Amino acid sequence: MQTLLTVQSLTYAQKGQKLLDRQWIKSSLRRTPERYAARGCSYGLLVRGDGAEARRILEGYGIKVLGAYPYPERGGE
Amino acid sequence: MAVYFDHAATSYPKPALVVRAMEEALILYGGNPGHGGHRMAMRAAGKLFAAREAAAGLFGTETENLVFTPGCTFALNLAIKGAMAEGGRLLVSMYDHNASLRPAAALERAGKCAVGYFPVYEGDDGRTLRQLRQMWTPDVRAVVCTHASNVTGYLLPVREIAEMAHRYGALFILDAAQTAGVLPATLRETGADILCAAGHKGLLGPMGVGVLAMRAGVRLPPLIDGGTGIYSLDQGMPEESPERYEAGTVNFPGIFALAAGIREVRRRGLLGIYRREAALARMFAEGLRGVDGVRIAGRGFREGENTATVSFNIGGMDAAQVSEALSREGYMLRGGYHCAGMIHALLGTEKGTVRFSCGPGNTPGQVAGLLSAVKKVARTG
Repeated sequence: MQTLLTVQSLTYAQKGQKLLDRQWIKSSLRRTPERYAARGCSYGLLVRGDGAEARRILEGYGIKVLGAYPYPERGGE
Repeated sequence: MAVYFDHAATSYPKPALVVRAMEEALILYGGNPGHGGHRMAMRAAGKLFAAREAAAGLFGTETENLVFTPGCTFALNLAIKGAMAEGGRLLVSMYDHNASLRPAAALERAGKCAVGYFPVYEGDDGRTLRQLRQMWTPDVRAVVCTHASNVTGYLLPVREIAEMAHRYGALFILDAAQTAGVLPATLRETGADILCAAGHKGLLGPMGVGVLAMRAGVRLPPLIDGGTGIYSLDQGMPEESPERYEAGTVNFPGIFALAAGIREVRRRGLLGIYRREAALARMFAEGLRGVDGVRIAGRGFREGENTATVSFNIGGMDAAQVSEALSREGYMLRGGYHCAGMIHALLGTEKGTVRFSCGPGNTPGQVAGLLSAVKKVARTG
Protein backbone atom coordinates (compact mmCIF):
# COMPACT_ATOMS: atom_id res chain seq x y z
CA MET A 1 0.00 0.00 0.00
CA GLN A 2 1.15 3.53 -0.79
CA THR A 3 -0.28 6.87 0.26
CA LEU A 4 0.02 10.26 -1.38
CA LEU A 5 0.19 13.08 1.16
CA THR A 6 -0.66 16.31 -0.60
CA VAL A 7 0.93 19.52 0.68
CA GLN A 8 0.68 23.26 0.01
CA SER A 9 3.36 23.67 -2.64
CA LEU A 10 6.27 22.07 -4.41
CA THR A 11 8.70 23.82 -2.08
CA TYR A 12 6.94 22.40 0.97
CA ALA A 13 6.90 18.97 -0.66
CA GLN A 14 10.65 19.22 -1.27
CA LYS A 15 11.29 20.43 2.25
CA GLY A 16 9.07 17.64 3.60
CA GLN A 17 10.95 15.03 1.62
CA LYS A 18 14.20 16.15 3.25
CA LEU A 19 12.64 16.04 6.70
CA LEU A 20 11.25 12.55 6.14
CA ASP A 21 14.58 11.39 4.78
CA ARG A 22 16.23 12.46 8.00
CA GLN A 23 13.73 10.24 9.86
CA TRP A 24 14.50 7.30 7.56
CA ILE A 25 11.16 7.53 5.80
CA LYS A 26 11.56 7.19 2.06
CA SER A 27 9.26 9.30 -0.05
CA SER A 28 9.02 10.50 -3.61
CA LEU A 29 7.66 13.72 -5.06
CA ARG A 30 4.53 13.44 -7.18
CA ARG A 31 2.19 15.79 -8.95
CA THR A 32 -1.21 15.33 -7.37
CA PRO A 33 -3.65 13.53 -9.69
CA GLU A 34 -6.28 15.97 -10.90
CA ARG A 35 -9.12 14.23 -9.05
CA TYR A 36 -7.47 15.15 -5.74
CA ALA A 37 -6.43 18.64 -6.80
CA ALA A 38 -9.62 20.67 -6.64
CA ARG A 39 -7.76 23.98 -7.12
CA GLY A 40 -5.57 22.56 -9.87
CA CYS A 41 -1.86 21.67 -9.92
CA SER A 42 -0.42 20.64 -6.60
CA TYR A 43 2.28 18.37 -5.28
CA GLY A 44 2.55 15.63 -2.73
CA LEU A 45 4.81 13.04 -1.20
CA LEU A 46 4.29 9.39 -1.92
CA VAL A 47 5.11 7.17 1.06
CA ARG A 48 4.68 3.50 1.86
CA GLY A 49 1.87 2.41 4.16
CA ASP A 50 -0.92 4.64 5.37
CA GLY A 51 1.34 7.67 5.77
CA ALA A 52 0.32 8.35 9.37
CA GLU A 53 3.88 8.56 10.71
CA ALA A 54 5.03 10.71 7.79
CA ARG A 55 2.04 13.00 8.29
CA ARG A 56 2.85 13.38 11.98
CA ILE A 57 6.43 14.34 11.18
CA LEU A 58 5.48 16.81 8.44
CA GLU A 59 2.87 18.53 10.57
CA GLY A 60 5.31 18.62 13.47
CA TYR A 61 7.51 20.82 11.29
CA GLY A 62 4.65 23.06 10.24
CA ILE A 63 4.02 21.49 6.85
CA LYS A 64 0.30 21.30 6.39
CA VAL A 65 -0.91 17.99 4.92
CA LEU A 66 -3.95 18.81 2.81
CA GLY A 67 -5.03 15.23 2.15
CA ALA A 68 -3.96 11.57 2.26
CA TYR A 69 -4.97 9.40 -0.69
CA PRO A 70 -4.33 5.75 -1.54
CA TYR A 71 -2.04 5.52 -4.54
CA PRO A 72 -1.61 2.66 -7.03
CA GLU A 73 1.53 0.57 -6.45
CA ARG A 74 2.74 0.81 -10.05
CA GLY A 75 2.07 2.82 -13.12
CA GLY A 76 0.97 6.06 -11.49
CA GLU A 77 -2.70 6.61 -12.26
CA MET B 1 44.94 44.72 -21.50
CA ALA B 2 41.82 45.15 -19.40
CA VAL B 3 42.13 45.15 -15.63
CA TYR B 4 38.74 45.08 -13.98
CA PHE B 5 38.06 47.24 -10.90
CA ASP B 6 34.27 47.56 -11.10
CA HIS B 7 33.13 44.71 -8.85
CA ALA B 8 30.57 46.94 -7.12
CA ALA B 9 28.73 46.94 -10.45
CA THR B 10 29.22 43.25 -11.15
CA SER B 11 31.92 40.72 -10.38
CA TYR B 12 34.24 39.58 -13.15
CA PRO B 13 35.57 37.13 -14.14
CA LYS B 14 33.11 34.55 -12.87
CA PRO B 15 34.59 31.38 -11.36
CA ALA B 16 34.91 28.51 -13.83
CA LEU B 17 32.41 26.43 -11.88
CA VAL B 18 29.79 29.18 -12.30
CA VAL B 19 30.34 29.24 -16.05
CA ARG B 20 30.13 25.43 -16.16
CA ALA B 21 26.95 25.47 -14.09
CA MET B 22 25.22 27.74 -16.61
CA GLU B 23 26.09 25.33 -19.38
CA GLU B 24 25.13 22.29 -17.29
CA ALA B 25 21.74 23.79 -16.47
CA LEU B 26 20.96 24.43 -20.13
CA ILE B 27 22.10 21.00 -21.24
CA LEU B 28 21.16 18.66 -18.41
CA TYR B 29 18.22 20.31 -16.68
CA GLY B 30 16.02 21.53 -19.49
CA GLY B 31 12.63 20.96 -17.85
CA ASN B 32 10.66 23.82 -16.31
CA PRO B 33 11.08 23.51 -12.53
CA GLY B 34 7.79 23.54 -10.64
CA HIS B 35 5.76 23.61 -13.81
CA GLY B 36 5.15 19.95 -14.53
CA GLY B 37 5.40 16.50 -13.01
CA HIS B 38 7.46 14.73 -15.66
CA ARG B 39 10.95 13.52 -14.93
CA MET B 40 12.83 16.43 -16.51
CA ALA B 41 10.72 19.06 -14.76
CA MET B 42 11.08 17.27 -11.43
CA ARG B 43 14.82 16.90 -11.92
CA ALA B 44 15.18 20.63 -12.51
CA ALA B 45 12.90 21.28 -9.53
CA GLY B 46 15.23 19.21 -7.35
CA LYS B 47 18.19 21.34 -8.40
CA LEU B 48 16.19 24.53 -7.88
CA PHE B 49 15.37 23.43 -4.34
CA ALA B 50 19.04 22.66 -3.66
CA ALA B 51 19.92 26.18 -4.84
CA ARG B 52 17.17 27.56 -2.59
CA GLU B 53 18.61 25.66 0.36
CA ALA B 54 22.08 27.06 -0.37
CA ALA B 55 20.83 30.64 -0.56
CA ALA B 56 18.52 30.25 2.44
CA GLY B 57 21.44 28.90 4.46
CA LEU B 58 23.63 31.84 3.48
CA PHE B 59 21.07 34.45 4.55
CA GLY B 60 19.76 32.54 7.56
CA THR B 61 16.20 31.81 6.62
CA GLU B 62 14.01 28.84 5.73
CA THR B 63 13.66 27.63 2.16
CA GLU B 64 10.05 28.82 1.95
CA ASN B 65 11.17 32.33 2.87
CA LEU B 66 13.85 32.55 0.23
CA VAL B 67 12.56 34.05 -3.00
CA PHE B 68 14.52 34.10 -6.24
CA THR B 69 14.03 37.30 -8.22
CA PRO B 70 15.37 38.71 -11.50
CA GLY B 71 17.74 40.89 -9.47
CA CYS B 72 18.21 42.98 -6.35
CA THR B 73 16.21 45.87 -7.82
CA PHE B 74 13.23 43.59 -8.35
CA ALA B 75 13.59 42.27 -4.80
CA LEU B 76 13.69 45.80 -3.37
CA ASN B 77 10.62 46.80 -5.41
CA LEU B 78 8.79 43.74 -4.11
CA ALA B 79 9.80 44.50 -0.53
CA ILE B 80 9.19 48.26 -0.55
CA LYS B 81 5.96 48.29 -2.54
CA GLY B 82 4.68 45.30 -0.57
CA ALA B 83 5.54 46.76 2.82
CA MET B 84 3.91 50.09 1.94
CA ALA B 85 0.83 48.67 0.21
CA GLU B 86 -1.44 49.94 2.99
CA GLY B 87 0.10 53.39 3.17
CA GLY B 88 1.91 55.04 6.05
CA ARG B 89 5.40 56.51 5.97
CA LEU B 90 8.61 55.03 4.65
CA LEU B 91 12.06 56.14 5.78
CA VAL B 92 14.93 55.67 3.34
CA SER B 93 18.61 56.43 3.78
CA MET B 94 20.14 59.08 1.55
CA TYR B 95 23.02 56.65 1.01
CA ASP B 96 20.72 54.29 -0.85
CA HIS B 97 20.87 53.20 -4.45
CA ASN B 98 18.10 54.23 -6.83
CA ALA B 99 16.86 50.64 -6.50
CA SER B 100 15.35 51.83 -3.20
CA LEU B 101 15.06 55.57 -3.79
CA ARG B 102 13.02 55.31 -6.98
CA PRO B 103 10.39 52.82 -5.79
CA ALA B 104 10.00 55.03 -2.70
CA ALA B 105 9.61 58.17 -4.82
CA ALA B 106 7.20 56.40 -7.18
CA LEU B 107 4.98 55.38 -4.25
CA GLU B 108 4.99 58.93 -2.93
CA ARG B 109 4.20 60.43 -6.36
CA ALA B 110 1.28 58.02 -6.69
CA GLY B 111 -0.01 59.19 -3.31
CA LYS B 112 0.35 55.72 -1.81
CA CYS B 113 2.64 56.64 1.06
CA ALA B 114 4.78 59.42 2.50
CA VAL B 115 8.57 59.17 2.34
CA GLY B 116 11.32 60.65 4.50
CA TYR B 117 15.03 60.52 3.64
CA PHE B 118 17.53 60.32 6.47
CA PRO B 119 21.17 61.42 6.11
CA VAL B 120 24.16 59.22 6.88
CA TYR B 121 27.29 60.64 8.48
CA GLU B 122 30.39 58.56 7.83
CA GLY B 123 32.25 57.86 11.06
CA ASP B 124 29.47 59.27 13.25
CA ASP B 125 26.81 56.56 13.50
CA GLY B 126 25.36 58.18 16.61
CA ARG B 127 24.52 61.31 14.59
CA THR B 128 22.98 59.19 11.83
CA LEU B 129 20.80 57.39 14.36
CA ARG B 130 19.78 60.62 16.09
CA GLN B 131 18.69 62.05 12.74
CA LEU B 132 16.69 58.94 12.01
CA ARG B 133 15.08 59.05 15.44
CA GLN B 134 14.13 62.72 14.95
CA MET B 135 12.40 61.88 11.68
CA TRP B 136 10.36 59.09 13.23
CA THR B 137 6.59 59.53 13.30
CA PRO B 138 3.98 57.07 14.55
CA ASP B 139 2.92 56.22 10.99
CA VAL B 140 6.34 54.89 9.94
CA ARG B 141 5.67 51.43 8.55
CA ALA B 142 9.09 50.54 7.18
CA VAL B 143 12.71 51.64 7.02
CA VAL B 144 14.93 50.76 4.10
CA CYS B 145 18.65 51.25 3.87
CA THR B 146 21.67 49.89 2.15
CA HIS B 147 24.07 47.73 4.13
CA ALA B 148 27.02 49.47 2.47
CA SER B 149 27.13 52.46 0.14
CA ASN B 150 27.85 51.52 -3.45
CA VAL B 151 29.69 54.84 -3.79
CA THR B 152 32.03 54.92 -0.77
CA GLY B 153 31.60 51.40 0.65
CA TYR B 154 30.67 52.84 4.05
CA LEU B 155 28.83 50.33 6.24
CA LEU B 156 25.68 51.73 7.82
CA PRO B 157 24.77 50.95 11.46
CA VAL B 158 22.18 48.43 10.38
CA ARG B 159 21.75 46.58 13.66
CA GLU B 160 20.90 49.81 15.47
CA ILE B 161 18.54 50.86 12.67
CA ALA B 162 16.88 47.43 12.90
CA GLU B 163 16.50 47.81 16.67
CA MET B 164 14.87 51.20 16.25
CA ALA B 165 12.51 49.90 13.58
CA HIS B 166 11.47 46.96 15.70
CA ARG B 167 11.05 49.09 18.83
CA TYR B 168 8.46 51.14 16.97
CA GLY B 169 6.84 48.23 15.16
CA ALA B 170 8.20 48.93 11.67
CA LEU B 171 9.68 46.55 9.13
CA PHE B 172 13.36 46.82 8.35
CA ILE B 173 14.29 46.23 4.70
CA LEU B 174 17.98 45.85 3.91
CA ASP B 175 19.71 46.24 0.56
CA ALA B 176 22.68 43.88 0.80
CA ALA B 177 23.71 44.26 -2.85
CA GLN B 178 27.22 45.39 -1.86
CA THR B 179 27.81 43.04 1.06
CA ALA B 180 26.33 39.63 0.20
CA GLY B 181 29.25 37.32 -0.42
CA VAL B 182 31.75 39.75 1.09
CA LEU B 183 30.63 40.32 4.67
CA PRO B 184 28.22 38.50 7.01
CA ALA B 185 24.75 39.47 5.84
CA THR B 186 22.23 37.19 7.48
CA LEU B 187 18.81 38.19 8.76
CA ARG B 188 20.01 37.57 12.31
CA GLU B 189 23.29 39.45 12.07
CA THR B 190 21.77 42.49 10.40
CA GLY B 191 18.39 42.45 12.14
CA ALA B 192 16.64 42.74 8.77
CA ASP B 193 13.10 41.51 8.32
CA ILE B 194 13.62 41.46 4.57
CA LEU B 195 17.04 41.27 2.96
CA CYS B 196 17.56 41.82 -0.76
CA ALA B 197 20.71 40.86 -2.62
CA ALA B 198 22.12 40.68 -6.12
CA GLY B 199 23.34 37.33 -7.38
CA HIS B 200 25.95 38.71 -9.76
CA LYS B 201 28.15 40.77 -7.43
CA GLY B 202 29.84 39.28 -4.36
CA LEU B 203 27.95 36.02 -4.78
CA LEU B 204 29.77 35.53 -8.10
CA GLY B 205 26.70 34.37 -10.02
CA PRO B 206 25.47 35.57 -13.40
CA MET B 207 23.41 38.70 -14.04
CA GLY B 208 19.63 38.34 -14.01
CA VAL B 209 19.22 36.68 -10.65
CA GLY B 210 18.73 38.06 -7.15
CA VAL B 211 17.25 36.99 -3.86
CA LEU B 212 14.81 38.23 -1.29
CA ALA B 213 15.17 36.58 2.13
CA MET B 214 12.38 37.10 4.64
CA ARG B 215 12.04 36.51 8.34
CA ALA B 216 9.38 33.87 9.09
CA GLY B 217 5.99 35.54 9.44
CA VAL B 218 6.61 38.39 6.99
CA ARG B 219 3.98 38.40 4.27
CA LEU B 220 3.80 40.74 1.29
CA PRO B 221 1.45 41.20 -1.64
CA PRO B 222 3.07 39.84 -4.79
CA LEU B 223 4.65 42.38 -7.15
CA ILE B 224 3.60 40.51 -10.28
CA ASP B 225 0.91 37.92 -10.94
CA GLY B 226 1.06 34.85 -13.13
CA GLY B 227 1.60 31.13 -13.28
CA THR B 228 3.22 29.47 -10.30
CA GLY B 229 2.74 25.78 -11.02
CA ILE B 230 0.35 25.42 -8.09
CA TYR B 231 -3.40 26.04 -7.68
CA SER B 232 -3.76 26.80 -11.38
CA LEU B 233 -7.56 27.02 -11.25
CA ASP B 234 -7.51 29.90 -8.75
CA GLN B 235 -7.80 33.44 -10.06
CA GLY B 236 -5.51 34.86 -7.39
CA MET B 237 -1.91 34.18 -6.50
CA PRO B 238 -1.28 31.40 -3.95
CA GLU B 239 -0.69 32.25 -0.32
CA GLU B 240 2.33 29.98 -0.18
CA SER B 241 5.81 31.42 -0.28
CA PRO B 242 8.05 31.37 -2.28
CA GLU B 243 5.68 30.48 -5.14
CA ARG B 244 3.53 33.52 -4.30
CA TYR B 245 6.42 35.79 -5.27
CA GLU B 246 7.85 33.84 -8.20
CA ALA B 247 5.22 34.16 -10.94
CA GLY B 248 6.34 32.85 -14.31
CA THR B 249 9.27 30.66 -15.15
CA VAL B 250 12.28 31.34 -12.95
CA ASN B 251 15.74 31.98 -14.39
CA PHE B 252 16.83 28.43 -13.64
CA PRO B 253 20.24 28.53 -15.38
CA GLY B 254 21.01 31.75 -13.50
CA ILE B 255 19.85 30.32 -10.18
CA PHE B 256 21.75 27.08 -10.70
CA ALA B 257 24.91 29.06 -11.48
CA LEU B 258 24.27 31.34 -8.50
CA ALA B 259 24.27 28.25 -6.27
CA ALA B 260 27.69 27.42 -7.68
CA GLY B 261 28.81 30.97 -6.86
CA ILE B 262 27.53 30.59 -3.29
CA ARG B 263 29.46 27.33 -2.94
CA GLU B 264 32.58 29.17 -4.11
CA VAL B 265 32.02 31.99 -1.61
CA ARG B 266 31.64 29.43 1.17
CA ARG B 267 34.80 27.65 0.03
CA ARG B 268 36.80 30.89 0.08
CA GLY B 269 35.22 32.06 3.34
CA LEU B 270 33.82 35.55 3.99
CA LEU B 271 36.64 36.59 6.30
CA GLY B 272 39.30 35.61 3.79
CA ILE B 273 37.43 37.35 0.96
CA TYR B 274 37.03 40.58 2.89
CA ARG B 275 40.60 40.68 4.24
CA ARG B 276 42.05 40.11 0.78
CA GLU B 277 39.91 42.81 -0.82
CA ALA B 278 40.43 45.19 2.10
CA ALA B 279 44.21 44.97 1.71
CA LEU B 280 43.90 46.05 -1.94
CA ALA B 281 41.46 48.86 -1.12
CA ARG B 282 43.77 50.13 1.62
CA MET B 283 46.72 50.06 -0.77
CA PHE B 284 44.76 52.01 -3.35
CA ALA B 285 43.42 54.60 -0.89
CA GLU B 286 46.87 55.16 0.61
CA GLY B 287 48.37 55.47 -2.85
CA LEU B 288 45.77 58.03 -3.89
CA ARG B 289 46.73 60.30 -1.00
CA GLY B 290 50.09 60.84 -2.66
CA VAL B 291 48.59 61.99 -5.97
CA ASP B 292 48.31 65.75 -6.43
CA GLY B 293 44.78 66.98 -7.01
CA VAL B 294 43.05 63.78 -5.93
CA ARG B 295 40.20 64.02 -3.46
CA ILE B 296 38.71 60.89 -1.88
CA ALA B 297 34.93 60.96 -1.28
CA GLY B 298 33.72 60.37 2.27
CA ARG B 299 36.21 59.27 4.91
CA GLY B 300 38.02 56.95 2.55
CA PHE B 301 38.63 53.27 3.08
CA ARG B 302 38.86 51.93 6.65
CA GLU B 303 39.01 48.22 7.31
CA GLY B 304 35.89 47.01 9.09
CA GLU B 305 34.02 50.21 8.22
CA ASN B 306 33.92 49.96 4.43
CA THR B 307 33.62 47.43 1.69
CA ALA B 308 36.57 47.42 -0.71
CA THR B 309 35.31 50.50 -2.55
CA VAL B 310 37.00 53.89 -2.92
CA SER B 311 35.47 56.87 -4.73
CA PHE B 312 37.60 59.80 -5.81
CA ASN B 313 37.91 62.81 -8.08
CA ILE B 314 40.89 64.39 -9.79
CA GLY B 315 40.79 68.17 -9.46
CA GLY B 316 37.85 69.57 -11.38
CA MET B 317 37.94 66.84 -14.01
CA ASP B 318 34.70 65.23 -15.03
CA ALA B 319 34.36 61.78 -13.42
CA ALA B 320 33.20 60.13 -16.64
CA GLN B 321 36.19 61.59 -18.50
CA VAL B 322 38.61 60.31 -15.86
CA SER B 323 36.97 56.89 -16.15
CA GLU B 324 37.41 57.00 -19.94
CA ALA B 325 41.03 58.05 -19.60
CA LEU B 326 41.70 55.17 -17.19
CA SER B 327 39.92 52.80 -19.54
CA ARG B 328 42.28 53.87 -22.31
CA GLU B 329 45.13 52.96 -19.96
CA GLY B 330 43.54 49.51 -19.48
CA TYR B 331 41.76 50.00 -16.14
CA MET B 332 38.01 49.54 -15.86
CA LEU B 333 36.50 51.85 -13.21
CA ARG B 334 33.08 53.40 -13.21
CA GLY B 335 32.70 57.15 -13.34
CA GLY B 336 29.52 59.10 -12.62
CA TYR B 337 26.79 59.01 -10.03
CA HIS B 338 26.61 55.21 -9.60
CA CYS B 339 22.78 55.23 -9.61
CA ALA B 340 22.82 56.78 -6.15
CA GLY B 341 20.74 59.91 -6.45
CA MET B 342 21.10 61.47 -3.00
CA ILE B 343 24.49 60.59 -1.54
CA HIS B 344 26.41 63.13 -3.61
CA ALA B 345 24.73 66.06 -1.87
CA LEU B 346 26.08 64.70 1.44
CA LEU B 347 29.56 63.95 0.10
CA GLY B 348 29.96 67.18 -1.83
CA THR B 349 30.49 65.20 -5.03
CA GLU B 350 27.74 66.85 -7.05
CA LYS B 351 29.58 66.06 -10.29
CA GLY B 352 29.92 62.37 -9.45
CA THR B 353 32.99 60.29 -8.65
CA VAL B 354 35.32 57.72 -10.12
CA ARG B 355 34.84 54.46 -8.27
CA PHE B 356 37.41 51.77 -7.56
CA SER B 357 35.94 48.49 -6.35
CA CYS B 358 38.00 45.34 -6.22
CA GLY B 359 37.17 41.68 -6.02
CA PRO B 360 38.52 38.20 -6.41
CA GLY B 361 41.24 38.02 -9.01
CA ASN B 362 42.63 41.51 -8.40
CA THR B 363 46.24 41.69 -7.26
CA PRO B 364 48.55 44.25 -5.59
CA GLY B 365 50.41 44.53 -8.90
CA GLN B 366 47.21 45.58 -10.64
CA VAL B 367 46.54 48.19 -7.94
CA ALA B 368 50.07 49.55 -8.35
CA GLY B 369 49.52 49.76 -12.10
CA LEU B 370 46.22 51.57 -11.59
CA LEU B 371 47.87 54.09 -9.26
CA SER B 372 50.44 54.84 -11.93
CA ALA B 373 47.63 55.35 -14.43
CA VAL B 374 45.80 57.70 -12.04
CA LYS B 375 48.99 59.72 -11.61
CA LYS B 376 49.38 59.94 -15.35
CA VAL B 377 45.79 61.08 -15.86
CA ALA B 378 46.14 63.62 -13.03
CA ARG B 379 49.31 64.96 -14.62
CA THR B 380 48.20 65.06 -18.22
CA GLY B 381 44.45 65.55 -17.87
